[in-house]
Amino acid sequence: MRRVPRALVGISSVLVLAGAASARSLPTPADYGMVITDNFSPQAGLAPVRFDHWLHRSKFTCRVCHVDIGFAMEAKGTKIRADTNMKGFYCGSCHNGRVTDGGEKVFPACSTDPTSKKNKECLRCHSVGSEIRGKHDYVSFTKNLPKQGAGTLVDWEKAEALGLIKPADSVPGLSVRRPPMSAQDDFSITSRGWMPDIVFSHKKHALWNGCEVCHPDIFPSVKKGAVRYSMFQVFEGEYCGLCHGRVAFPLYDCEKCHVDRVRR
Amino acid sequence: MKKALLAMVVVLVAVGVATAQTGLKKKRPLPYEFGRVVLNNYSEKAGLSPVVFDHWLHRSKFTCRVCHVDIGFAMKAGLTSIKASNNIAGYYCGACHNGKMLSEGQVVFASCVKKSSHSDLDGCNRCHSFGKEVRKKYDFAEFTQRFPKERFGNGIDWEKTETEGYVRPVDFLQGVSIQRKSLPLEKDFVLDAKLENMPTIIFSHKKHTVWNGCELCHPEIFLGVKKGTTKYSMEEIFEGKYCGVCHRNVAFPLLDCQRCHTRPVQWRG
Repeated sequence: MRRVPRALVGISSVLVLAGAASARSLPTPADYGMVITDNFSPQAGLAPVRFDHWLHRSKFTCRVCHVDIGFAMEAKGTKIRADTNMKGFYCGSCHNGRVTDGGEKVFPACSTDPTSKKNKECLRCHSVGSEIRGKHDYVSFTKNLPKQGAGTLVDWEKAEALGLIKPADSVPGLSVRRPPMSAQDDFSITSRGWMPDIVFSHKKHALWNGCEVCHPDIFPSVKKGAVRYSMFQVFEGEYCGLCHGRVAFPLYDCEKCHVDRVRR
Repeated sequence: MKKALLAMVVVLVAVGVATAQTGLKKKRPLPYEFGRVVLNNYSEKAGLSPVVFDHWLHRSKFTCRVCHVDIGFAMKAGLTSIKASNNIAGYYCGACHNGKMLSEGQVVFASCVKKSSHSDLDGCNRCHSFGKEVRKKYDFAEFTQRFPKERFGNGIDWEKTETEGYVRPVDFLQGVSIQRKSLPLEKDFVLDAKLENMPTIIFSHKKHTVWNGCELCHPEIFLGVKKGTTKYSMEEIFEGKYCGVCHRNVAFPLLDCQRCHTRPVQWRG
């Protein structure tokens, strides 16, 4: 029987290594968080959609899009159709030709017949493979924003604290306000082995996420310790890894979470 | 040894299945998709598309009790295992969809009529519509246009929709329902949250019995009617048990904590 656990370890390591044995190249800061969606575009004779997460996160909290509007937190998971945008769902919640941003009307999504002469409008989003440039250029947009230690990614937390960005937390006609709930105090998550413990700040997370981005879908229970997960799952893009590694600061920045160097 | 390995693999797979729903964030269904049930127990075997059932339309016309108690539909997709022969005999869908019943002055179409009376499949496609462009009689946006809105789910405050008179769900089906004298109602009560800082729940029996009567929840979902006898946790609710039988799929979803956790508590005074 003593060999059984060893076999289990063997199986688990094979399972883990299968997904992790290649080192990926790091995306450029402008491409970090970029989503390419091609669920229905090719059938409609259009290029896939390039979505710049950095631009939208600079203007809205995570909660507005991923809770109030209801976008999935996985690329292609929302299965957006032109039809749903035109009805005012998903992109069409804001990109409807009525909502304004900085005094200007936000262009309507999927409002032009792709076979018409005006189909250049489609290319604003259906831009993969073309030389189309968005209205906002990453380098000039983020020039004055504070950067993170690792690489040249924007330190969004600091950018907001300094008042350089002011993400909106509601969309008119869509968001319903609830009285705020008191968030739990910051707490330590004990690391396994020699790693420093994690200090988790509810306050920092609730600022843009409210309660509902994370609970109950990602972390069903709000009771500390009830949801069991491992760093492997986080690396696979589950739990913390759903945001950290895709849109929030990346997982190779270990010390940003594993900060508690004093072992109890 | 081989047996032990197999057992471990089974355990690993089972764990994978059990945790498949957590750790990720899927898209939230659109208002008209929320509560939608797709049934394919026998459809494809019979050469038909699976059935698409719009819960929102039926709930706007009937109380929950009529369908889930008097008619006896399961509260889980696929579990009723409806067959054409049941419907033709007047059970399940056929309890109303019998070509005789009237709704708003119109005859309700019959479900699963015998093949000989059908020259084409148009009739079948009304329900067996999965993957087809079937134009429905009721359009969600148009139908719900004036209903009071709420966030999540169908995007509708159904409770308010009824109190304001936009819908009048029927609670009695001629030939199916049997009227009983109503039982006295327990008063609204407080369910203490188990967590510090989490507001307590105020459970309203009154609000729940309007559409559910007693029999929808008792004894099957909540065995005891004595407060405190049925023990359950939020985790079980998230898995679709207890309150989660409805408040995940058809009633306002669990994402909206403060719809139930309404009363703030000062734990630290």
